[in-house]
Amino acid sequence: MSTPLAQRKYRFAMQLSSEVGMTFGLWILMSLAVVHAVTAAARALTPFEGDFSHYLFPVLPLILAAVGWVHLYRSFPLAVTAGMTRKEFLTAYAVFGAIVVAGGFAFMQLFVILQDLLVPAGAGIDAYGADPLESLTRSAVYFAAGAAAGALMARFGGRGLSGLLAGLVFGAVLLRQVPLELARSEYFGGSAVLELPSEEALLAPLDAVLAALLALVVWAALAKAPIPNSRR
Amino acid sequence: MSFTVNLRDVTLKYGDSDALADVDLTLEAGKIYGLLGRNGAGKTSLLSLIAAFRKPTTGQILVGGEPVWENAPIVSRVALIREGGDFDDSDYVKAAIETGQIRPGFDTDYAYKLADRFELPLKKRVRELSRGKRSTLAAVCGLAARAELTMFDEVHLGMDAPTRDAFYKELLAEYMDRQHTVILSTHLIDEVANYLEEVVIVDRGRILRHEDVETFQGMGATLTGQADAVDAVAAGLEVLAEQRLGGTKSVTVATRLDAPTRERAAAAGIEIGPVGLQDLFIHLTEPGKNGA
Repeated sequence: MSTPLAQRKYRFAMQLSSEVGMTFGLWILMSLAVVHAVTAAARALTPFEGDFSHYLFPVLPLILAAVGWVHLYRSFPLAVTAGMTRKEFLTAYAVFGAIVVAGGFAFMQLFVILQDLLVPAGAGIDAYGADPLESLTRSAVYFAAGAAAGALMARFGGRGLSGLLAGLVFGAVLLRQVPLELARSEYFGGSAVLELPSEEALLAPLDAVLAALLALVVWAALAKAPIPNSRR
Repeated sequence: MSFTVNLRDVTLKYGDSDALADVDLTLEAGKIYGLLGRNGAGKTSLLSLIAAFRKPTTGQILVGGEPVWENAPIVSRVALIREGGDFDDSDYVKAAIETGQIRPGFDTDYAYKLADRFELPLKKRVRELSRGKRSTLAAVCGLAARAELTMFDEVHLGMDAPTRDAFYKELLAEYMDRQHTVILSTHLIDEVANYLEEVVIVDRGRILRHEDVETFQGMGATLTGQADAVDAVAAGLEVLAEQRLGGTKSVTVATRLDAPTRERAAAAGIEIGPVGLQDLFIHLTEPGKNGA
C-alpha cells in the first residue's frame, strides 16, 4: 500500500479533529471566558459570591456526545462513497475519538483549574468528572455513546428502529448508575440514593468499561454496513 | 492502468426479494460501457456492489482481479458517482470538492478547473444548489477522481442539455487522455449511444444482454423509403417503431435482415440503417418478454 493511501485515515482523523477544534473547541473556550467574566463582574458589582461556570461543567459531556454522534453519522457515508474502506474509517474515527476525548479531558481540567484560581474556596466544582481519571472516563463514555448512536443510525437508516436504539444507548449512559446504586443498596441494605450526575466513585471504572462496549457497538454496526441506494 | 470487473454468481437480496440474482458479468478494462435497465431493474444495486458500497448476499466480485470488498488499494481507485452526488448538504461546494481528496489520485486542480468551466459557485452550500448544479458538482467530482474505474449512475439528472453535452465531451476527453474503465448508467440512451463501446442490459435483477454496440445495432434495422414499399418489406417483421412524414416512412424492426430481404429493400429504393439502441432496449425489456 502506498504511503498516501496508508496515511489517509490519519489525515481524515486530523481533518475531523481540526474541524471540531475550530468550532466546538473555540465555542467552549469562549463560553468559559464569558462565564468567568460575567461571574467576576457580578462579584465586583453585587454582593453575589457564587460561580456561574459550574453550570457549564455538566454540559461538556453532552457536547462530546453530540460531536461523536453528528460527525459519525455525517462522515461515515461520505468516507465510504469517497473510496475509503470501513476498516479505514473505523481506525480514523478511533483516532479522532482519542483526540476528542483528550480535548474533553483537557477542558474539564481547565474548568477545575480556573475554578481553583478564580472562585473562592467552597464554591468550586465538586462533581463527577472533576478528578483527572473521571475527566478521562467521563469524556470517553459520552463520546462513545454519541458515536454508537450515530453508528446505529448510519447502519439502520436514521429513523424508526435506529432512533429507538440511539435512545437506548443514551438512556443506558445517563442512567448507568441506577443498577450500581440498586445493587449496592441490595448488598448493604438501606435505600438507594440516585443522583444526576452521580458522584459515585465506581462510575469511573464503569465508564471505562461502558466506553469500550460502546466502541464495540460502533464496530459491529459499521464493519459491514451498506451505503443505502438513495441518499437520506 | 484500468480495471477489469468480474462478477461471479452474484446474488443480492433485500429482505426476501432478489435485487440481483445469479449475475455473471465480465467487463474488460479500458472501455466505456452503457448500463441500461428499466426503473428497479437492479442497475444501482449492481453498481453499488462493484463499488463495495454493499456486500453481495452470495457470490464474488473482483475488480482489477482482486476482491473489492474492504480492499483499500482497489476501492480508492473506484468511483461511483450517484444521482445528486454523495455530499453533506451543509458543506460548502469547495469543501465538498475537497472531500474527494480522500482518494490519493484525486486531482484538485482539475476539479477547480472543471468547477470554473461549469460555473459552480464554490462559496455556496451544497443544499443551496439547484438539482442541475448539484448533478454537475457530482460529475465534476467523478471526473476529478481520476479513478481506474469510474461509474456514473444517472448523474445527468437535472442537467440542462448544454451541460450534459459538455459533460459527455469532458468525459470522452478524459477517457482519451487516460485509459480507464467507464460505466454510464442512464435512461437517456440515444444521447450516450455514440460514446459507448459495449452495452449491458439489466432486467429484473438479471443480466439480459451484454454485447458490443455494433452487435446490438445489428439485431434490427431501420427501413426508410416510400411508405408502400417500406410496408411491403416490413410485412411479417417485428416492428418496434414507425414514423411517417408525407409519403416517406421509417420503420424500425427487431429482426436481423437476411440477404433476400436486403435485396428486396434495395430494389424498392429503401434505405437500411442500424436500429436505434433505445428502440431495441424498449423492445428487449418489454413487460411480458423473457430475454427477447
